[in-house]
Parts: sequence; C-alpha cells; structure tokens
Amino acid sequence: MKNIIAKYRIVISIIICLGIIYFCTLMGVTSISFVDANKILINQIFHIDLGMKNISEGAAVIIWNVRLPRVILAFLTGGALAICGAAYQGIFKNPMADPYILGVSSGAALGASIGIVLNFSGNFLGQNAIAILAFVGAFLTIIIVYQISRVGRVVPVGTLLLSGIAIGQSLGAMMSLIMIYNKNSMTQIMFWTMGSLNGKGWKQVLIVLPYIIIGTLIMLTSVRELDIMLLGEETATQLGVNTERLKKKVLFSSSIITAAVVSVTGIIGFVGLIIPHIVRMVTGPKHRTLVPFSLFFGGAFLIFCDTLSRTVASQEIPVGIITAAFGGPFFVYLLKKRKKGGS
Amino acid sequence: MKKRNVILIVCLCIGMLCLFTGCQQKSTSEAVSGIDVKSGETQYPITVTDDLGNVVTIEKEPQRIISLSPANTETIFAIGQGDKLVGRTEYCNYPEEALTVASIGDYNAPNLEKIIQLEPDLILASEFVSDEIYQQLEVTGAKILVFAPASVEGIMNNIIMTGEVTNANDQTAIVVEKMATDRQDIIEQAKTAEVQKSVFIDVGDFFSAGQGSMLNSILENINAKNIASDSNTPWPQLTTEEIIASNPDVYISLYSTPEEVKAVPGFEAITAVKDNAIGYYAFLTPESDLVQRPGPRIVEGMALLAHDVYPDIFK
Repeated sequence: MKNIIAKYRIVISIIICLGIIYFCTLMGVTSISFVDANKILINQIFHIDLGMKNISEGAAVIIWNVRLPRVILAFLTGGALAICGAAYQGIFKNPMADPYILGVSSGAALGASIGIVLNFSGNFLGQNAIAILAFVGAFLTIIIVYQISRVGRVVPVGTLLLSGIAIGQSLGAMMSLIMIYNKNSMTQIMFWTMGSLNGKGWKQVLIVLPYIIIGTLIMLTSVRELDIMLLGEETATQLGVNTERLKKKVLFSSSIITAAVVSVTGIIGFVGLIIPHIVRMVTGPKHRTLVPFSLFFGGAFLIFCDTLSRTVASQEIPVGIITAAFGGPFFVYLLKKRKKGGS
Repeated sequence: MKKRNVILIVCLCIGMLCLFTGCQQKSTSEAVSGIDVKSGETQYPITVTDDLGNVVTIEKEPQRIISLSPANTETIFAIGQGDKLVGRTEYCNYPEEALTVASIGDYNAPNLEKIIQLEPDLILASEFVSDEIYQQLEVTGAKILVFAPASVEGIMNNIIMTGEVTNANDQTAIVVEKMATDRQDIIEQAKTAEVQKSVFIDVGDFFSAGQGSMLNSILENINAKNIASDSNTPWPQLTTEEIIASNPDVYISLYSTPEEVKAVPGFEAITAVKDNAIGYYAFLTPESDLVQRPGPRIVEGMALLAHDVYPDIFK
C-alpha cells in the first residue's frame, strides 16, 4: 500500500488539487446551490445543457467568470511562489530566502506606483499598463542586482543576497517618496502592495500561465543539480556541476515567474517562504520531490487562504493577512513537533 | 513544556485577534435628532462636545482659526468668518479666497511648527488627525474640535457648532436652513420614484461605503438601496462576486474610470453596466469634492448623486 502511494504520489496530488479547485469554486458569499453550480460548470466545460433556464445570468457569470478563474489564479500564484522559494532556498542555502529576497517585489511595486501616479490606468497593447510597468520593474531589478554582484563570470551567493536586500530597500524608499508626493494615489498604491486576487479573471490567468509553465519547466530541468548543490558549492563544482550556469538558470526562471505573478496579483507574502519549508519537512530536502510538491501544496494553500478571504466576512480580508495568520502558527507548530521528534 | 505550548498558542491567538480587529475604525459619536439652529450672540465661555466626545470649553471668541480639513475651511468661509482663518491644508481649494491663507501642509500630517508659529486659538480638525498630532496640538494651548460626521444631519450640526463657537450664529442659521430645505426637496422628490434602485459605490478597488459612512446615509436619503449597507464597517471591501450577485442598477465610481469598471471580469452581467448607468467622479475634481467633502456644499453633492440614480426625476 505504502509503495503504491509513493509510486503514484504525483498523480494523487494532482487529483487532490483538482478536487480542491472544484470544491472551492462551489464556495462563496453568494448562495448558489450545489446543483446549479455543477450545471453551470458542466454547461461551460462540456457544452451540455442540463436545464440552465432557471439559473440567473449573474450566477452563471459568478461561477464561470469570477470564482473559477480566481481559484485557478490562486493555485498558480501560490504554486509558483512556492517553487521559486524552494529553488532560492536551495541555491542560496539560506532558510530565510523567499521569491522576493532579491528585491523583485520592491521593483514591481515601484513600477506599479509609477503607473498609478501617472494615471496609466488604461490599456496598452491589450494589457493593463500598470501590470506591464510592474513586470518591467521586477525584471529590471533582478538584472541590476545580478550585475552589481557579478565578479567577472562568477556570482558569489552572499553578495547577491546583500545587493538584493540593498536594492530592494532603496526601491522601497523611492516608492514611499512617490507616495508622499502623490497623496491622492497613496491608497491605490497601498491596495496594490497588499496583494489581492479580487476582481481577477481568465485574462489574468492567461497572462501568467505561459511564464509559469516556462519557468517551472526550466526549474524542473535543474532539480538534480540543485540536489548536488546541497553538498556545498565547491563540492558541486568538483562533482561536475556548472554552478554558475545553474545559478543563472534558477535566477532567470524564478525571476520571470515571480515578476509575472507579482505584476498581476500584487505582493502576496509568506507563501514562498513557508511552503517550501513545510514540504521539506514531509518529503525531505531532495529537490526532485521538493519542487513539484511545493507547487501542489503552495497552490492548495493559497486557494485555501483566498477562499477564506472571500467567504469569512461580508467584506474581503486581504489574502496576505490570512496567509500570514495561518502560515505562521502552522509553521511554528511544525517546528516544535520536529524538535520533539529529535530529527 | 506543555505549559509553554499553551502560552505560545494563547499569544498567537491574541496576535491574530489584533490583526483582524486592528483595522476597525474608531467609532464616531452621532447625535441626530433634528437640527437645532442657534441665533444671536454667543455667550462665552461656551462648552461643546465634538464628534470624538471631547468636551471643550472655549473662553472667548476665537480670533485666529486654523482648519485641518477642506470641509472645515469651506464652513468657515460660508459662515462669513474667512478673515479669521490663518491656516489651511494643501487640499483646501474652495472658495478661491482660501488659497490666499497660509498652508500648514497635509490634513493627516500637518507641519506642527508652522501651526505653532501661526498662534491659533481654535483648530478645526477632521477624524484623519492622528492621536499623536492631536496631543501635540493640545500643547499649543489652542482649543481643538474634531468633526467626523456620518450623515448630512451630522454635517449640519458640525456647521452649527462651528458657528456657535465663532460667534456667527445668524449667518450660520442662513447657511444651515438653506441646506436643510434643499435636502428636504431632494428627499421628497426621490420618494416619488416608482421603483427603488440599488446602488454600488466604488471608492477604489471595490472598497465601498457601508453602515456608518456619510455616503451610505446620503444614499438612504435619496431613496437608493446601497448594496454595501449590510456591512457593519464604514469602508468594507466587497468581492466582485458579491457585487455581481447584488446586481446594482447604478454604479458610482469615485476612482476607476467607467472603462475599467466595464472591463472587470463578470461585470458584464450587472444591470448598471448593461444600461451604462455608471456615475464617475474622478478623484480631486470639483464634482468629486462636492460628493465627498462633509462641508456646506454636501447637499449639492447629494443632488449630483440623486441625478445619477434617478435621472428621470432629477433632470
């Protein structure tokens, strides 16, 4: 039995995640009956009409255009951030590393606030101009941080971390300065930085999907090398791993994933930091299991938090508050439990 | 060991409670039971209670007034006390004479040194003034009144109190009586609507005006059903799903452009979007000030909103 579970655990995880997506799509503040919701989903996916007449247009739109894309976006966002966190913790060999540690979030926030202040609320080439500026800001930040820390063809991990933190702080200061001089945009910028999945639809899902797929595939090709990196950078080099190339690969793939996700959802904290640690406690440190399971668990966790954020009260609670409120204590519990077990 | 676990869990629970309750707003006292206009000379010393419940005694007629909100500045000028105003905020842009008064900075972070230099004896603030600033202002020796009205009646009472403490009762009575009759006109006309319409007010990112907010009370006055009024917080953020399910007839946006509103996924099913019944007040425009400023021109803002909701009645 145990063998079977071990063998098919990826398949089992995928099925569980699909189940979570399905059930959370049925949950929401507006009471749409279980039967009606299923009818709407079947009608939209398979184009089979099981009596849509009695269902209001509003209900159909809520299930298909609001809830389902929001739940899927939550899965993609949570999963993507968790993967990036896992990979960063691997190459930096630092338990504090998260997808935002190199200043990506500050860069994105600065880009977004410039967009908000200049009133770029309209569309640009069919995309939201603020999201594009956020993406550009995030990506430029990584390039700057990388260039600063590069010594010849080598990038020392310590320098990379430090310059990431320094650049992140100064970009954050610039954003605050922009806010002070544009008080009327202040609330809007604050909403943006809090991160939310409210009001996002299929368009946003389609925007982030290609980046996440490409980034994840690149990441999955590096898992074996990341495992060897666990032995230390020098040992890994001696064992034939091109550590500089590996770093570049991981940095590039995490950057496009994080930049895409942040530009669409704003800054959602905690998932990228905590989920890889939790998964590591269960599956062990090997990246070939850690990375895929971080994707599944991170996605499921953010769906759970976002469902709470939209259903608990009659008003939205920013999802970042919920991830921190639940992720923190849960993580502390795991830490304590592990200490007792003596492992 | 066990005991420490319990303590840890208790601490975490308290922490989480703080997180969830921390964002609730200060309650503002609201005394509404008709409008009681004053007349004649004010007898000093006079003791009044402001909207935060502070009991303030004013010994003699104030000669140097500082306003810490655009609404208070408008009130001071409307009741003919503009010549006593020595300081205003950056955002006080009405009436035009206000621009000649020295600015003391922002309403939530005013420049304390400038205020002290102006030697005020009366400071009129809004609820946005922080506790720290309030305490520091108290040290200057000036009397401070904080106004946080939650309805048009509340605004009128604030104006009456301002008139009373500045010894301008008669001019104030004219202003407030005009507001009251204009308001009553709108209320009566709005009552004639055959079907009550539902409204969603979007303050930005689907934050709305709930129970206890001025905009909610205005919507009640103009016979409109505010779909966010079920929320017991003044500024709730609604999920787009809830907005679609409530299906408002009219959408009032105080931030996003109508194009952005129409582009929100799922909003194509809302009656307001289908009928193109979207009222838009771009931030910091004169119209937006009318709707949002709790001052003497609020009834004009009320008329604008009434026109958005019932365009057939209010032409």
